[in-house]
Amino acid sequence: MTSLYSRRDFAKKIGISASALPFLLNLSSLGHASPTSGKQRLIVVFSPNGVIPTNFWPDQEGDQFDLKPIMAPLAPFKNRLLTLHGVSDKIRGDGDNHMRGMGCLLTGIELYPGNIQGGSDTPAGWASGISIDQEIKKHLQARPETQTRFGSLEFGVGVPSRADTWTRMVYEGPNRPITPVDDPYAMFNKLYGQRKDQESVRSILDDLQSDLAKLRSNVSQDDRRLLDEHEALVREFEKQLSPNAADNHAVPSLDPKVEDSNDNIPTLTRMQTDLMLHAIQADFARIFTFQFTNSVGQAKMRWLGIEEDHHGLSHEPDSNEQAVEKLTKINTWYCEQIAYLAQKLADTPESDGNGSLLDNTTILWTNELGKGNSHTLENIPFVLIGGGLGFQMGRSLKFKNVPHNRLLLSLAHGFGHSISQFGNANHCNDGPLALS
Amino acid sequence: MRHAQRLLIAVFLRHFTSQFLATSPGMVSASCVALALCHLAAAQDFEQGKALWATQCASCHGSTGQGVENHFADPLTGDLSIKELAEVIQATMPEGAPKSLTDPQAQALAQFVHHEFYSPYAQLRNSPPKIAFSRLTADQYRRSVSDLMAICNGQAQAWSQERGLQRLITQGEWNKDRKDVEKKVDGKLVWDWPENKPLGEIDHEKWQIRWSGTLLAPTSGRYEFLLDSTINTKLFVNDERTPLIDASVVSYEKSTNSASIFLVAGQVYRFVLDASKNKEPKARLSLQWKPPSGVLEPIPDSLLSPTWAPQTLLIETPFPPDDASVGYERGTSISRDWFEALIASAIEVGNQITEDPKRWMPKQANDPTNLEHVKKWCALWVSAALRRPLTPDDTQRFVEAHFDGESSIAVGIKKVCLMTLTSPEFQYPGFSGSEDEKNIARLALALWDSLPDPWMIELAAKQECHHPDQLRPIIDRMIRDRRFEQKLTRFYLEWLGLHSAKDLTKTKDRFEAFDESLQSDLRQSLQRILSDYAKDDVDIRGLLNSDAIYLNGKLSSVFGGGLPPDAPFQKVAMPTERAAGVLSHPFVQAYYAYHDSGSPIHRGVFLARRVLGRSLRPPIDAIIPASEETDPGLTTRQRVAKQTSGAMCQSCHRIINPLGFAFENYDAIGRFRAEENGKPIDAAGAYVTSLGDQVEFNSSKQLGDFLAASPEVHQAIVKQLFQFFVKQPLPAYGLDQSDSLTKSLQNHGFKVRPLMQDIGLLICQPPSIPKPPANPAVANLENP
Repeated sequence: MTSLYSRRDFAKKIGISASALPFLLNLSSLGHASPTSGKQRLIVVFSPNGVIPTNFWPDQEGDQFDLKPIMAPLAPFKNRLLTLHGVSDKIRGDGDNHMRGMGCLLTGIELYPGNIQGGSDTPAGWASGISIDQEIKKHLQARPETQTRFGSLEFGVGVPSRADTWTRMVYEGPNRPITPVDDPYAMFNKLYGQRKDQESVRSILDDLQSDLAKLRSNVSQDDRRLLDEHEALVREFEKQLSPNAADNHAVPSLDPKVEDSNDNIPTLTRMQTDLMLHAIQADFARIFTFQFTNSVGQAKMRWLGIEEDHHGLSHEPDSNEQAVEKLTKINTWYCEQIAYLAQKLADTPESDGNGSLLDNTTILWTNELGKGNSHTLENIPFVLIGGGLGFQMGRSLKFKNVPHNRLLLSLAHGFGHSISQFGNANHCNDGPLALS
Repeated sequence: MRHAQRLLIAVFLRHFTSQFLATSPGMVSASCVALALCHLAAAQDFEQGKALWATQCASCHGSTGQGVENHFADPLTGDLSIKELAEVIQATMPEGAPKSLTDPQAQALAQFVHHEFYSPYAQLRNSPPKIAFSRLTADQYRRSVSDLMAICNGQAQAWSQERGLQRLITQGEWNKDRKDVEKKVDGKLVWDWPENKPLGEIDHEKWQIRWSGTLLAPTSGRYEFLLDSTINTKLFVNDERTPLIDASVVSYEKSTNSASIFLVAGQVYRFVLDASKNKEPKARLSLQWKPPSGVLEPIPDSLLSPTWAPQTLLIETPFPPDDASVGYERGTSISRDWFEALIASAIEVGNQITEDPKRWMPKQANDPTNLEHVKKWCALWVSAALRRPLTPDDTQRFVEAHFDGESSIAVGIKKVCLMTLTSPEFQYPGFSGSEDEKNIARLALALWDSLPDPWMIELAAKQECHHPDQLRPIIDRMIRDRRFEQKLTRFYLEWLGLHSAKDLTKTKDRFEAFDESLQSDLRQSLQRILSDYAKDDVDIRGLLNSDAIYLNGKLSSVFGGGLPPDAPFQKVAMPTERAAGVLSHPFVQAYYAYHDSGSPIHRGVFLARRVLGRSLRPPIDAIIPASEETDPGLTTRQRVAKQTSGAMCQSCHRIINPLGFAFENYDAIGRFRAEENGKPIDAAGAYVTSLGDQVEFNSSKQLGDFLAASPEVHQAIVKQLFQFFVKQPLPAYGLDQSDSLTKSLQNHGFKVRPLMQDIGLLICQPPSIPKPPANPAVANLENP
């Protein structure tokens, strides 16, 4: 039986329980730190198991190119699109390609040798370095003008409830993976729980005052001093809790009864995307990740009429036309979700009235593999949509098998974080990819 | 005769009359008259002292010794006997012309000062303390909430006498063909298996090892656990479903993981360490912890038990520390920090319950379709928190009102938590309700630092908790509870002054053996003996003069005791000449020592303040203790005697030094020594009781025997015990209660539980008007 009140066990692990008070008292302290322009945002969207390259990459290079079926949903944003063919994950060492594809994707550094045995290769542990999103978050959080309440938010959909090298993409440091929040209710609590708590506190203060007064009449003159102080504290607290105009942006409402199940992935995706859009509007964070399932993800997209699981299908040879068709459909569905997000961002103006949210937000869509059945780490899907990082969009670029560390550097530089190396330094020799 | 003189004689007569009545009724009148006449002379001295005070002292000390700004600002109070006080006055006063008073003048002045405002009795008489209106301390709040959850899901904590954890080794695929290979009790959590497997008869791959049981937290605070493992391992503390450390993914080059958790002293927590080996090349595993203000060490076996324990609700919200300036924590002040922490913690409790209702609520209440069950559970919860049955109005305000609106059930439960945990009735226990309700609240707070249980609430509702005959069985049941035993253990640590953190590091080249692991074993050895004294009804004088100590092989190799090197902890008898109970325990002696030598001053201050209950002023000037190098030829004793020989120093060091010297046989790490730098140890010491009696001793053993028999010590321990448990000043319950509770301890063979019976009864019936004190010191003046 599922419960009305509760979600999964790890909800409390995401840190909404303890030490909530500074934010309880002042939700807006960081939320609206920077109303001026110059907000830059990054959203990394992960979908698993490689793509069908022929149905994914544009054939042409430059600003004149045609979209292939998988990317067709992004047609409205073609002039704000940047596809990067020829960028490869060159990190070797322990772990199979699915593991390194995931663990090294945003970290650009080797996995530690460890005890997780994949399908081939030597076993491995966690990645040995921080991921680029967290690196940029640290950069932004260190500056008052770019500081936000959370800095970064890690979303997920259908992520299995086990922690291993295939299920974790974001690292706050070596050996320290961050768990994506794949439960919209837990994410809602993280974002808005304190707002609800504020209302609850406000609702009991009158009773507390009257109970204090009642006790006061029962104790001696000397003992009233403590109760007087207590009453004064309650009154002071009440004043601090009175609603603040700045906090009054709408709190989204969630459909209360969506099960965490394979078949609900479309609904959960929409809920999580909408929560992310709210978080962007409230300026709760500037860096976002959105992880569909996991590396080796096994979603069964029955809503597309596909009964097989995604990973199983991705192993089928290219000669299996049915499989190719299904995999194209699956990847197109992921693309549609990104297009929805991009459209929402494009439709929403920035709070300062200067352009839309998409103008200052870059979505990076990526994957742990270049192609499912070969398990290659070459030509990893890297597709950028939006603006704000100073990249020249509306192009299809073709590189000659360059290390993806250079793209990670470009992202950092786009945020004004001019680091010369990231991850394995051997792959950073030629500096950031020239995207502007 | 002036009022003061009359009072003096009256007090004196009453005191002695009662004593004589008890022994030889026929002698009463004649002796009394003789003594009373004798006392007339004292009364004349008193007048002389008063006059001297007015002319020579009051300008700096104030007319009633209250102090004068820019002269001597502190109130003139203390507990020297009149004789000693006279000696100090003679040697140091008046300022600028010491030794100018004659002996009779100093004596007269001392007598006046002692009686009017200096002595503890005078202080109590002049400003009798009151029972302070108090809230729950942060510690009591945490315990109350934990117990509240346990009461409302019907799972009480248990702690078996067996030590160690249940260790199970299995072989095979976890979900397929797993077989139990071995099951035994074992507390060792540090392993480097030579063959990469725990048993010879199992394969190298696909084995699992699981330790499970219960962990007892010895002190309150944040415990850090450090796991170093090359195999798939998970550590569960308290919460058996969500690991505190999840090291199922092992990175061999970085195989350590740590996490911390706030635990409450004396509470027990479910504890599971689960490890399994598959293809990992090496099998190494070690779990250590760092207790609050402790060192990284293996978890002591004595704190582990192989039985199961239910999950406890732990509050993570940090609270500001409570006021402990009077020697015990008390909730007599509130601050913004405290109030904010209280609100945040109430939200935290609500979150914990609503995030996992199945864990905290019984089955029916967890049914989302049945709001009535939820409300019923909430009403039970509120009633347990308020320590009384709810009225219909309470049910409406505390429960129903929060489920009326459009909010979800979860929000309703959270509001119930908020309103209840912040409510004055919950926070100020024992200050409202019927006498019966007040009594059970007071008892639960004093004996458990927590809430009364439902049985007590029921008795109070039937008004069966006010007559001593009704209260005795209640108290008796409460002091058999493990919460009382744990509180008593905590008291002993507090009494020994060991509750606060201190770096025990000693000079390495001289005390090589005294490493962190030895310190950790020593701490364990002390904890074992203290919990023995808390467990059973034993004569607590043994704390001062018993020869029993717990040692293991390692400790024995340093401190004697003749155990083989690998011997586990066991109780052994130390040579009789060394035995002064826990006072001579190496941990206590090493605690009251410098990094390179023992410290007679620290030891003396400890004995004077804590054991004998004497009050000492802080030194007038901060003094850096002389090091060995300054006077290489001297022993520690000679060095201390030399440095504190000044007259001002001696006003306190006359008490401190001769007490501390009795422990000269113990070096910086508490190891027994017969000589220092080639010179034989001189452990001769002395003490003048607050009644003026001179006592001498030549060893720690003789000192221990003296202390065990000393009424001053009995009185001191009773006072500290009362104040630690009740968190109120003892004299507030009657100025004669110190004496009568001390008699209770003495009459009950120095066992704590019978004394606690009397303390329990006393706090349930606090006298409304304090009685005037008997002042034995004044009486003793006439009876040298």
